[in-house]
Amino acid sequence: MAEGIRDKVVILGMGCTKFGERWDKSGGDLLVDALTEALEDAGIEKKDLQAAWLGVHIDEINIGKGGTYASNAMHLPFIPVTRLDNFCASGTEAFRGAAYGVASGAYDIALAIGVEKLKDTGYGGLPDSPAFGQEMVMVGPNATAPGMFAQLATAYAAKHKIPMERVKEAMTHVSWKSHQNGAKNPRAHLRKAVSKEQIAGAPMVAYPLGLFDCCGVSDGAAAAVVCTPEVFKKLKPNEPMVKVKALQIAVSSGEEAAYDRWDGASILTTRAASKRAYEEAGIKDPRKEISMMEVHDCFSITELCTMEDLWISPDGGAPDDILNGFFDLDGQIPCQPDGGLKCFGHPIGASGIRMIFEMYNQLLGRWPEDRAVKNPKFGLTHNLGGVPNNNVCSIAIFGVD
Amino acid sequence: MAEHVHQPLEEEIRSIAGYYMVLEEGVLEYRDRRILYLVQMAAIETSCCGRGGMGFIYVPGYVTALKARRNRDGLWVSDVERVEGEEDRREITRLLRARHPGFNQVNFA
Repeated sequence: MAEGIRDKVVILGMGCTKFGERWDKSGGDLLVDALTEALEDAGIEKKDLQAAWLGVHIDEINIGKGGTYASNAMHLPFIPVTRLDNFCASGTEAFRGAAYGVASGAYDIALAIGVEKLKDTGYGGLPDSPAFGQEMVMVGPNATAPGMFAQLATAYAAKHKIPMERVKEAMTHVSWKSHQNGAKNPRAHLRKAVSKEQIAGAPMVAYPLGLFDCCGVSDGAAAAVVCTPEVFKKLKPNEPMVKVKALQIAVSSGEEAAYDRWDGASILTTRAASKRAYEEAGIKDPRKEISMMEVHDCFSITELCTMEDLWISPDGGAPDDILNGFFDLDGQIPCQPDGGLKCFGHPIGASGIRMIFEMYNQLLGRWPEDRAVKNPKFGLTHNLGGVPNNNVCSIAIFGVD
Repeated sequence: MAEHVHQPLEEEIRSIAGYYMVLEEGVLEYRDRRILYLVQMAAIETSCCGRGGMGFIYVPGYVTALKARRNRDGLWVSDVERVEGEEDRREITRLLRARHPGFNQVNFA
């Protein structure tokens, strides 16, 4: 009977570059910087790594296919390096590969690392890529990401009979809160608090999503060194252990896009993956037990719906929770304490590990008081790659012992 | 009744995906009332989903007290009343588009 990997894998060290317009660094440079910080934090050397997993999405302009570019750039010692891509969940997928490698007993110490360099492509958004294969040719010209996520907002308002003004007010709070948090974070791309008036007065990109409801692209890399609890105790005796409590992925089945039973007002993969993750972690009531979250706020409505899809807010109750400050930094479950995608941008392969980096450091109590979550026990990360009706969702839960 | 905080003219209000700025503020006489509106432009240059630019108009509402006081940041604050009626919104949109050709997007607070 499968039992998952709860408590079988520990984070030994992590690193994360500053995100931003990193025209001063190549993708390889960013990998080296993230790796160097992670190794220093772990207290080991490169020769101690036994395997590596690399998350990157737009391979054509960054890293290329395979593992050679990254292995060459980091001068890894002839170890297996596996490059993988699972849309916006690519970073967490890399972490999952390394964690499963350790949990299986194949390795004692493994590396997960993610990178993306999108600011010097000559194009503002994500460059065209054969991400969805043949489907992209059919669907791509007819749909944009904000257009499809905007429909999540209208479907949500209609289903729960909540006036759009109320949904919009909650989305404004989502963006305002992330900018408040990100302004304090030296690694964030955009460090600027904005007022609710400035958010509300922004142009509409796809109704009801305004400029501040949409995330941007960025350059960045993040890395995690994972090991068994036994190895950790030898290397860092008497230090607190940040353990992996759950790692789950759910991928759309085609039901949302092709059948007619999906109401368009929630993300089914998030509901499935989070349910399995809570079971793996032994969490019975996430609203009471989860201490903090980093979720995929590609659009403000995504974060709003995710609060319900993670079973934190009751169905139709996310706007009330958001506007009551439940997810603010001083609220019951702070969400995006580092500023989220709104302030870090989205270098796709790095984002998932950047989120884990925040949970890891919060659990160890390393951040200054003005952006520290009080006494966290469980931290959750969530990525959503794709569009509401066809996507990949990853959920990871961490705890400190 | 709601408050409208006047942003400085021609100053970037930046998000991670781009920026917008207020080019000018205007008042439209409409059915014996005065509508405050802002002529704005935006550049969406680094969004995850592409890039573009636009001129647009933002309507805080009917003016009840124009620049009545300053807030803690020293910015002027006006008291306004939101435009709620769909018919009014359509007519105001038509009038503003006629006054500012090319500015097709009209958003109401």
